[in-house]
Amino acid sequence: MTSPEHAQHDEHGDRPQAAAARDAALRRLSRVNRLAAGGSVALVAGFTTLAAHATAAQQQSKAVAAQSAAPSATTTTGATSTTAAPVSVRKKVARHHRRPHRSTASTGAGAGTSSGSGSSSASGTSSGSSASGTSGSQASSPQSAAPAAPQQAPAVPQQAPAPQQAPAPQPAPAPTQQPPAVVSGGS
Amino acid sequence: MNEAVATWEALGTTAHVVVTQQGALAAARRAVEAELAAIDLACSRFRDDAEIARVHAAGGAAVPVGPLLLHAVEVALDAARRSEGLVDPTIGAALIAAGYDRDFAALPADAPASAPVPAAGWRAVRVDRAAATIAVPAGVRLDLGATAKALAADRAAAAAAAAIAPHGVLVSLGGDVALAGAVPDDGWPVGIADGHRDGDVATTVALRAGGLATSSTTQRRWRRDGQEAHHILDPRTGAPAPVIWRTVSVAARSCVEANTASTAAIVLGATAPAWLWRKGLPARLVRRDGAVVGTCGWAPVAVAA
Repeated sequence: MTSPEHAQHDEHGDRPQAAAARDAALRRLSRVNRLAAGGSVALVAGFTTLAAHATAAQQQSKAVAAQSAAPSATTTTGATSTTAAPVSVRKKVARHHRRPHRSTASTGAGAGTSSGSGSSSASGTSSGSSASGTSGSQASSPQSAAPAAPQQAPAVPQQAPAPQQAPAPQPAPAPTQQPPAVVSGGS
Repeated sequence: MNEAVATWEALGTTAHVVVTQQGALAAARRAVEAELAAIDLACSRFRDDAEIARVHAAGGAAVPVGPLLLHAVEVALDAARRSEGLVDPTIGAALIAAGYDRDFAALPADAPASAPVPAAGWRAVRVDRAAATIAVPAGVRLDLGATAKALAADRAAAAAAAAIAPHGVLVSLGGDVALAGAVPDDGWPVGIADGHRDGDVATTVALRAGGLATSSTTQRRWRRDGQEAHHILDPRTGAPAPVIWRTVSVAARSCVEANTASTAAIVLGATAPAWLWRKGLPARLVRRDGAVVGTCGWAPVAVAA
């Protein structure tokens, strides 16, 4: 904390002046430190908010794309849940973003507050977005990749992507070499 | 395991009952026959003495009905709701206009064509469960064919399994398959073909639960004005659905669910695979040229054109 300038004054033996100068310098320094700490907290919070908004916007655009690709009303459930999730994430992040200024005083530790708010908003964002993102990607992928109302049947046998809403997926019947007990065909 | 099978004609098609224990076959068959007779008497649009005929004759008034017809109509309306109207029980008048106006075996080879009649719409049917009444607008004819046969398979399998417990049973009505009770170690082997009477089985799968149904545009065909028609009509137009798929087979939690989906897939045409994926239903769709599409884990196995 001692600057070379103060050390030089001490060497010349002007102790009271040097002490006063040192005290003044220390006061200035601590003020600068506080300002710097406050600034860094604001920066961290700002970046966190930006990241959260970007995540929410991405989720929302995904959901809109999924909805626009949906060929019928049956697909609305998944799309609705997808769009709802980012809204709740954004609210959560905004609350965390505002808190640090108030809670800095109550917790008393700038570093603790910034790391605390960072981790909680990060976990809030990641858990929220990964939860909604996972379901959103599962929900939207079949629609985006499914045939968009083609007029002709697919040219080659295809495996479509996972279903948007499959409450309890029905297991596919497995091929067998046994002779059939009955035959299922048109009647 | 000591399987045994009985086969006979019923509901205008072929009924099969297969049991896991030979000694249980007679009791299983009795239970199935009783269920099929009850369904036919309640729901057949080809019988003047059927309960549904009283509903048609009531001119829109609510008609008290028995629990079986009430249940069958509720199942048909539920199928319509689930299929977004692609499987619609009010398609009776459309079938009559298309020429399917009597038991299929009695249809003339050819006849003059009539203009297609779109379905009246399943929301026009009024069911009062508490009062046990059904009302359909005057002129509307219900055809429960798409769901009643599958419902008969589900109910017959359940009744037979109860009669022969702890053994298991498979019931097939013209290819609409329902299982109940114990299942053989390797599952019930079910062949898949264009027609349920075909010896030309394309693939065989092992079923362990629920039901399986196949709808086909190659069966129940007739001619009007020299043009070929088939029995799966698009309720929106009243005309036979365009033939994109030769057959669609669906495995589901019940035979009713499977039959609803396979019928809806034929009506949907090219978009059927995406629709089945969204429903989470394993299906095997055979295109007109023989190419095969599978959904939800049902691996496609190509067949000859």
